[in-house]
Amino acid sequence: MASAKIKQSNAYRVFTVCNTVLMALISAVMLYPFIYLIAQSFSSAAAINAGEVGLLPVDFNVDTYKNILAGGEFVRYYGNTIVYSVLGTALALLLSSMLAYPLSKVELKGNKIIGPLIIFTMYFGGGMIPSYVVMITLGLRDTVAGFLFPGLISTYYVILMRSFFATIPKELEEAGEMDGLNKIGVFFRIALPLSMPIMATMALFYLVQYWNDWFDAFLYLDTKTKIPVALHLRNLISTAANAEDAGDSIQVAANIKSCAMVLTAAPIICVYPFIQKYFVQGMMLGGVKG
Amino acid sequence: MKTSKKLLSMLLALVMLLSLVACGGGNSGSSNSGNSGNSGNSGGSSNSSANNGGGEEQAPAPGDVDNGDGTFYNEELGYTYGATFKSDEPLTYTIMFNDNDAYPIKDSWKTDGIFKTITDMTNVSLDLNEVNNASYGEKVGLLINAGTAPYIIPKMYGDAQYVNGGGIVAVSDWVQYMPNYTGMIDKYDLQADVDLNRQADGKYYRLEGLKETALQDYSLLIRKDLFDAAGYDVTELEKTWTWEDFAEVLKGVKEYMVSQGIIGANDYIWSDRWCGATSGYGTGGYLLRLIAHSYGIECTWSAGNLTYNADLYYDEAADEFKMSAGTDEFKQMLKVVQGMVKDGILDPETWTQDDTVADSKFYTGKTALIGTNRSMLVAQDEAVAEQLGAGNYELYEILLPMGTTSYQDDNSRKECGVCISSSALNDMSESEFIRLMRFVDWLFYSDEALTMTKWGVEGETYTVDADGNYSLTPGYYCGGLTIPQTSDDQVDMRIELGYAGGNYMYSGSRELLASAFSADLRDFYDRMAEYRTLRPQAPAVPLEEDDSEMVNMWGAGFKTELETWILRFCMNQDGYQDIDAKWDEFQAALQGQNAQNIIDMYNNAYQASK
Repeated sequence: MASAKIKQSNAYRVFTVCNTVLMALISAVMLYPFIYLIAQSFSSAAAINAGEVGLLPVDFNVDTYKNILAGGEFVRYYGNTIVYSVLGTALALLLSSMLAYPLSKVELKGNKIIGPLIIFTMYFGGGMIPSYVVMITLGLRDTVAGFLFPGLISTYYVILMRSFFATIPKELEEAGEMDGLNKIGVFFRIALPLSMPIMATMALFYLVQYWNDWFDAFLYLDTKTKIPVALHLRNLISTAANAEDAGDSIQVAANIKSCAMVLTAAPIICVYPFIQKYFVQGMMLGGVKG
Repeated sequence: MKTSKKLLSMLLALVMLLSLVACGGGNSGSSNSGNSGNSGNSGGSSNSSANNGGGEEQAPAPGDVDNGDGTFYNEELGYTYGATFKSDEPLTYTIMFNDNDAYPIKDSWKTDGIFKTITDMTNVSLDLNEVNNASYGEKVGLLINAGTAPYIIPKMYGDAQYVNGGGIVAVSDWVQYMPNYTGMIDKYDLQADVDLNRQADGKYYRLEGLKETALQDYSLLIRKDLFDAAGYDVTELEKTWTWEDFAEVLKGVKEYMVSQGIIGANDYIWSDRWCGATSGYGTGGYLLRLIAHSYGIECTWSAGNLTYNADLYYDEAADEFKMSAGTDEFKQMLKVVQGMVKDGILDPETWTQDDTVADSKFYTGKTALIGTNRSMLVAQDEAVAEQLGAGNYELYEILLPMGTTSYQDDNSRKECGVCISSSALNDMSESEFIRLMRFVDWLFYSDEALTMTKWGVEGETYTVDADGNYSLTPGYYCGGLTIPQTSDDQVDMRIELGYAGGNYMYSGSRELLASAFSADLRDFYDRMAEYRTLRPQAPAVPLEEDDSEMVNMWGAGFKTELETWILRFCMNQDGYQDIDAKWDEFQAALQGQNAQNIIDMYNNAYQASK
């Protein structure tokens, strides 16, 4: 049977055109800063100062990239970020899932108390100073653990995971128990392998969280060689914007700032189109089946 | 189920109760530590009461012996203090360190540079808590509030926010043990300036940088070659010119630039920096402040105290605070600025654009003047040279035009300062704490340390000739002192050894402060001293915490309203071109934002503090 094409009304066509034009305009507005940033990073400082750089680089060169990368400092911060992101994501997945799984069991004693208490932390935090005091009292000041621990368990992500775990058929777990697995065995051998979609999504969430996190590094890391690239970038930008200290101010060249921003954002920007569907899926996975 | 709910409720109530008890406990602990601080000060209590009243007098500590040469020896703990500081036994003090990206700290500073020199001179090792320049203020706040700050906290621009928390020491209770600090106050007659920093309890919590004179930092940098070509001898005109005269000169310069095809008839010749919302200085920025001060009033980005919010100024004749925006001088200032915009001289984008946009217009020769300050001057010269080519232009830092007064803008002889963490007071005995304060006194206020932190070690990094002129030894140049590199084998003293950094060199005589200035800058300051006068300091108004909060609340709305109107007038917006016609409406709008309440609260607090 030949498929009949649905005829679009004129109004719908107009709507589609307007919609497309509007979206294109919004996209252009959003893309422009990135393109401008990239153009600046490949331009000379003189051209930037002269206001000649627009969408395309002027006096195209890669000297700034070479200088930044040759300095060693930026590479070190970058390396720190990679280590922290990978390590933090792995630990966060482990701990979050270990919290979410038992909470997904209605038979868990105290579930009705523990659940609300966990949600309580979404609305009320201890505050920055008390949290900081707790961390340094635990001896975590200026340690990698001090940077990683505060972000290890996100309540929101735990709720998403709990919702997913709740959808796993009870019969599968009971079958595992009949075959001799204890609760931990069921979790690692049955529940986790069946939860790869939510784990993949959460991995991406946590990865982006650690990659962009400068604030915990600012709070808990004192030694310069330990800081992640996000904090370094934040310092670069704040230095240029901070006018209070005008007597001792520094002019950070626009091309250096641009290069640092491009290098920091590039991995996530490159990966984002490929992982975007998982982000959306993740929301659906956790949200619809609660 | 009901029982479990009851249990849960009781549990939560218990937790809340315990939290309250814990909070109460914390307070009592801090008040205890405060008491211990006071009792620790009991030895000099008579002096501290005198201090609260005003004068900073010296007092001996137990075991002090006068060496008769400007130094003293403390027999109890074994250290020399005064013009020098040297401990018999090695000491270590924790200290915050503001790590600047322009000259990041290096290991060589500890092995060969400033920190080794400090240890060699004093037997004190500094245990640094390094924080990047960009995060410094926030990190300091965090550490003070968490009670974990190092003992010495330099580079502090404010302290009021930490006073109630008890995280920092009321240093005014201890200055009687600091001979260099008190000596500097006496020598430069700075007591009234220092008293401005007193809080509602009559004490002050920050040892500010003290300077013999206020050096005007911000001014205008002009293309002198264009002014000359247009027929204006600015070196003569600047001695007495007013803003109205200045506007006429700029009109002439514009005519010349248009006639030469440098710019078009619709272009502006002045597009400034430090004024846009992105500059960090707030709307109106430095420019309106400079102009307002020349009229003896305040406007925007003013002297970092609470009056900033309300643009209050002190009327000496009436001995009270008044609202700047209600004065004839304010109206006159607005007319001058609006006139320059109307005449196509001053770019209205000045109040919206990013600083770099203003810079690029000046660097490429599209404008004839721009704001400058000491730290920007050299960079601006280099950037113009890069765009226009050396020898094709001449820059000149002008004396700011006068309003109704000849006041220069800067009138503060103080700089950022040093706070002392309360943990020092808690960790040390009274004698040990006095020793710490005397080390701080040496490091931040003695001639010996001020010279060392700025120039390094005599004979090694610098020399002084018979006329008192300082110069670096051949192996060094110094970006921080604006001493340029002249040969490839030179290294930057600040970068390699850490001298001339921003953590220590706040205070000093005019001679020391200007010791590294270029000939042009020295000339600028000589002209300023000859043709301009120092604006009197407004008295301090120590507001109680509640009043302070109330003023801040009123001030936020007032400031927004005021800035909106200022911009409407200054940018010559439609409907606001006739300032006289709009004046009553403007005043009514300000009154609607609690203007009178703010004025009354200040004046009441001021009268009460007398």
